[in-house]
Amino acid sequence: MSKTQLPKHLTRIDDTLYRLERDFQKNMRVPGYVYASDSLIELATRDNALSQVANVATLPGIVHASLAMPDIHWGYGFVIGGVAAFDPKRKGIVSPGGVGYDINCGVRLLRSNLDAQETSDKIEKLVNQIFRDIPVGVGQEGDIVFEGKKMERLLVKGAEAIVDEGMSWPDDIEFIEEGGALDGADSSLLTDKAVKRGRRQCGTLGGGNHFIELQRVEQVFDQEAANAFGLAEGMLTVMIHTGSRGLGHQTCDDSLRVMRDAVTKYGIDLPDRQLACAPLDSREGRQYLAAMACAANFAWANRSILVHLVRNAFERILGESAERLGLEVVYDVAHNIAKWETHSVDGKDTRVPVHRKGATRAFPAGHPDVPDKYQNIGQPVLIPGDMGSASWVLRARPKAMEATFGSACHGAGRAMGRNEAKRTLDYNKVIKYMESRGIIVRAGSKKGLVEEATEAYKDVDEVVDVTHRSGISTKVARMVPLAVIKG
Amino acid sequence: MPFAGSKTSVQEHAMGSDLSYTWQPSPHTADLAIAISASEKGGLFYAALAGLLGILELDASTPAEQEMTEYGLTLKSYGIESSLVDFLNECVYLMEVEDLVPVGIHELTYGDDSLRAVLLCRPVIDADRPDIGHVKAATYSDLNVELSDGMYKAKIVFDT
Repeated sequence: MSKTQLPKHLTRIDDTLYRLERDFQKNMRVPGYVYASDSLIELATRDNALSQVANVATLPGIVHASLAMPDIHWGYGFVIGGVAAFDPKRKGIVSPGGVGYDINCGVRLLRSNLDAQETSDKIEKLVNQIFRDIPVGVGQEGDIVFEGKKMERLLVKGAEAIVDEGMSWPDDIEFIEEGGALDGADSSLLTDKAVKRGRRQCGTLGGGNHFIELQRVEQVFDQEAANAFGLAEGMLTVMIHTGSRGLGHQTCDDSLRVMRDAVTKYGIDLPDRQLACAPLDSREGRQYLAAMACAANFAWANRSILVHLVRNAFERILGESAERLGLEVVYDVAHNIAKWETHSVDGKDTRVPVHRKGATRAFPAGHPDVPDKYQNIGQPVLIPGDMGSASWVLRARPKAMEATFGSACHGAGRAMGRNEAKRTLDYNKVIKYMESRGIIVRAGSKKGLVEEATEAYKDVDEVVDVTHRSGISTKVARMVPLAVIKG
Repeated sequence: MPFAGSKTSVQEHAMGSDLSYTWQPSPHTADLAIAISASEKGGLFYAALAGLLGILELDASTPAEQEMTEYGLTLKSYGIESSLVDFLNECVYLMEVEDLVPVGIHELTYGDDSLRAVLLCRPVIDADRPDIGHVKAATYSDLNVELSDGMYKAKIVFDT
């Protein structure tokens, strides 16, 4: 898109950044900033994505800007790839639409002591074993039941509850964002429906774009960081992408109903009902964060159980313990969440709830929340691509704290709608393409697989390249899929 | 005002009823969306259910009498848009948790304060499972019911 063709009030700052001026849409309290290349911004102008960035900019108490990462695409309420923070002292709000239905959808990456090439004859057996052991598909349930006191503990303690169950390693906790549990979770705030939906879903993958991938580290770009993260070229890695399942979805839905009333009660004008919100210092706002924390903790617990099942599968097929195989957690990131964090606002350190809707936390070297082992490097930022291309590990840089409330992109971002993908893409061709790339696919749903085809997504390399060039987070390693399990 | 359905699925009801309603897929980059229309406001609920079943590609034929379950629901109404979202999310919940696929609406009363409906449901079967819950929830995004050319119209975006 040439500069002369940009929509009105959209200004190109440089080759990785655009600004939505406050005149872009009425009632914007702050500008919008979109991290994108020229071609990515052109994609963003084809649907309502930029309007959604502008809508968020109208919300009370928003500070600095309404932000969007390079994987920006049209969502509901907040744009996917959206980041925003709100100051409680300026009547700031909290919005379930800024988190999404899949609360704490996120990614966990395991390293290993295995060389992908040397293990190549075992890949199919490994993926078949994992596919047998892990329930896939949205709504699918597993054999592990959490109810009563056990569920209450899980909702408060998150990943640590799974350590207590003997299904996770204590050493994993340090390498999970927030130590695998958000403080302030109050399980009494979840409805019976939400708890019922979660009862047999902890330890299940779900559908849509959730996956488990066996990968090979194809290239290392930053040897120092790769060494610290325990990654090396040729290594076999495992990436897991899933969230809080039906419990999270129900919690969001229940919360939006409450927020519906709150908007009227507190006289908040909204350009989109999906941005329903409440003041941070209101009962409704506080209760949403406490309920959201429960769902977030459920998601971390879910990913921990899936890691347990993956480790078991490796042990069974390779005949060695997971410890000897070195199946350790590199890191776990959330990309749908709202969290109280300290950021510089108008030159002062301020506690603000940062909403990340399809965006990943990116805390640099020296930040107290970064694990000790990574203090000199910065937090790993995990970026899954589509199932046919690549995934990335980046390292967070100080620029993220200056510019994006410590945030980076979360994935490739969709380029094609699900209806359009089902209509125009052929399942057999999708499978053939994957086969031509030597990628083994196991899927719970043919329809789901077509929706997840490579053509439906943006180029993850371009998204990562913009992130790298912007200085928010920089490249460490690129991984390519060897086998994919989709819901 | 009550809308009398019949003990048939929403797909079949649409063909033989005075209540005119339709649905079709609508473009959306990230998720699934439907465009619905109906000659009366209450008809939008029929259209929405037909659309949900349609995008999930679930078998929506009328079940045999012995397989049919009636499920009553009462929802507080906050306006037609919110009621549509609440109604659809109840249907998603039924499929995911109660193993019931709502395929028809026997009775529906929609007013200023509440929505009451009796849903006709069939049991979930194994063939449904890969598709059920493909939708996480109906959202409020871009949802505005408008009267245009004598028909009530709306677009509903589902989170997937």
